Amino acid sequence: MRARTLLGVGCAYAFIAAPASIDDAEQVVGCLSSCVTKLNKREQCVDAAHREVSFEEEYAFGGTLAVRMVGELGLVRDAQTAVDSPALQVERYVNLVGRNLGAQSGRPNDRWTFGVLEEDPKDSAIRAFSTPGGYVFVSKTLLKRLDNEAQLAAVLAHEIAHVTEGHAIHQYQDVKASLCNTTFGTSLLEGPIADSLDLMIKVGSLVLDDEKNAKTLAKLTDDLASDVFNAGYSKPREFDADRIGAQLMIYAGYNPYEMILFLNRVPVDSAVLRNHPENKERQDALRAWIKGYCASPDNMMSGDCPFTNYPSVQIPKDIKAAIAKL
Amino acid sequence: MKLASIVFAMVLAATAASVARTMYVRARNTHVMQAPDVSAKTVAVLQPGAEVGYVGPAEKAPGWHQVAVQAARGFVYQSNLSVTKPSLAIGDSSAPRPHDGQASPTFGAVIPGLGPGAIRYGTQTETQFARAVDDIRNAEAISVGITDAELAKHAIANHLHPMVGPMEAAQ
Repeated sequence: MRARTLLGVGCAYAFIAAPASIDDAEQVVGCLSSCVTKLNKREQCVDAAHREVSFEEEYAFGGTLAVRMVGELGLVRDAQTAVDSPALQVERYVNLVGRNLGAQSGRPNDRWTFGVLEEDPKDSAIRAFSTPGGYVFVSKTLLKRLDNEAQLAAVLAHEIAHVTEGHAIHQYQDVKASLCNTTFGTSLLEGPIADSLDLMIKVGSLVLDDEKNAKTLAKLTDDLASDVFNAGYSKPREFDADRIGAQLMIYAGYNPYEMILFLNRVPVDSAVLRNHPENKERQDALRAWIKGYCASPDNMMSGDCPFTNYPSVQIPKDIKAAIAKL
Repeated sequence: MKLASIVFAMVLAATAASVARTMYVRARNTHVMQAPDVSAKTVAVLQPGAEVGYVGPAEKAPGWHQVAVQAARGFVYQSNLSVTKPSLAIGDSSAPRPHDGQASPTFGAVIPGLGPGAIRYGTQTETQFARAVDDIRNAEAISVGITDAELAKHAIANHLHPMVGPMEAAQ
């Protein structure tokens, strides 16, 4: 709204300043017309950016964001391809645990893909992230810190929750709106990005797989990746992902308290994402949520509270050995 | 039956009664069993969003509940049931999506893998993320290669909640 007001004032000023000649008058009319065009286009664009993201757009963007984020480090690979090679064994195991969770998540029929991130030896960190389109990645260091399978499930369920709740998609809508403002802001830019946004205004969504929109897709991906890399999601979204992730663990049959225990394994000073809440804050919130969940007559699992009979599941020895070799 | 399960059963029965005894399936490939046991014969395999009639908790089998599916009756494990219709799509539109309830039971059957836009982005000279494209496609192949039977076998072996994946194949 503020931008609109400023633009409005600029146009009014040009209009009020008395034209000295017919040429000046034509310039004023031209300016007014241009201002109105910019204003209209920007508003229409921002409005279109906040409309529901189509399935195709979500998958095209999610896959590209996954490429961008994996692009920094790559996924683990074996020197030689063999059935029992460590990277293949571990990636299969992570996909087995993850797909079982995905099938019981809020988007059970989606394609869920899980990968293990290679690391820069100088910067090993406990990392996990997800992108729309059902891509979830965890770092080697994270796997080496796990006490059991339930803790792996806790991490994957948290990331799955980010996808099912559309956290990145909401951020993507904001990034699109921001692109509208810069493209149709103080000056009316021309070029492939403006053309893409023009088309979005007309049809309501971006066809990101179309080659004509390649620059727009790259710009949106780079902008959002920078946000997510530096700050992660907002605190409320992180708490949401913890809560929905814990619920998913319960649905699958894992002990949800393992999510709280795993947070003890994450060093406080390793927080690479400035928006992530403190571990203690997350643990307190999770304990309170589980207590409330057990007390609520609306949920399906209250008969099993306090989950003392829910297993933590040991990671198989051969998988542990393979993780150590990564 | 332990006290907690009895309380749960009473709550569930009361809740089910208050919603006209209709409940919804929330997990993929949910098996309705002839008896409340993972080794029982499968009566039907349902997909997320499917409606079932709630009959009541299974006697001497905590966690299992009897449901009616059309003319048949069977037992479903509680974690696969929901008192509310699961919301399966992002956003507030009611437009159907490939992952909406009652979609294909085959994993990822209608969901594309990495699309042309993502591949173009990764392989263009500016970004040089071609390795990431290969890595992700490889991870997709690993994920798709895992069968429902393997998922079911893993769940049963580790005492996780059953009923996702074909039980017959897992035994």
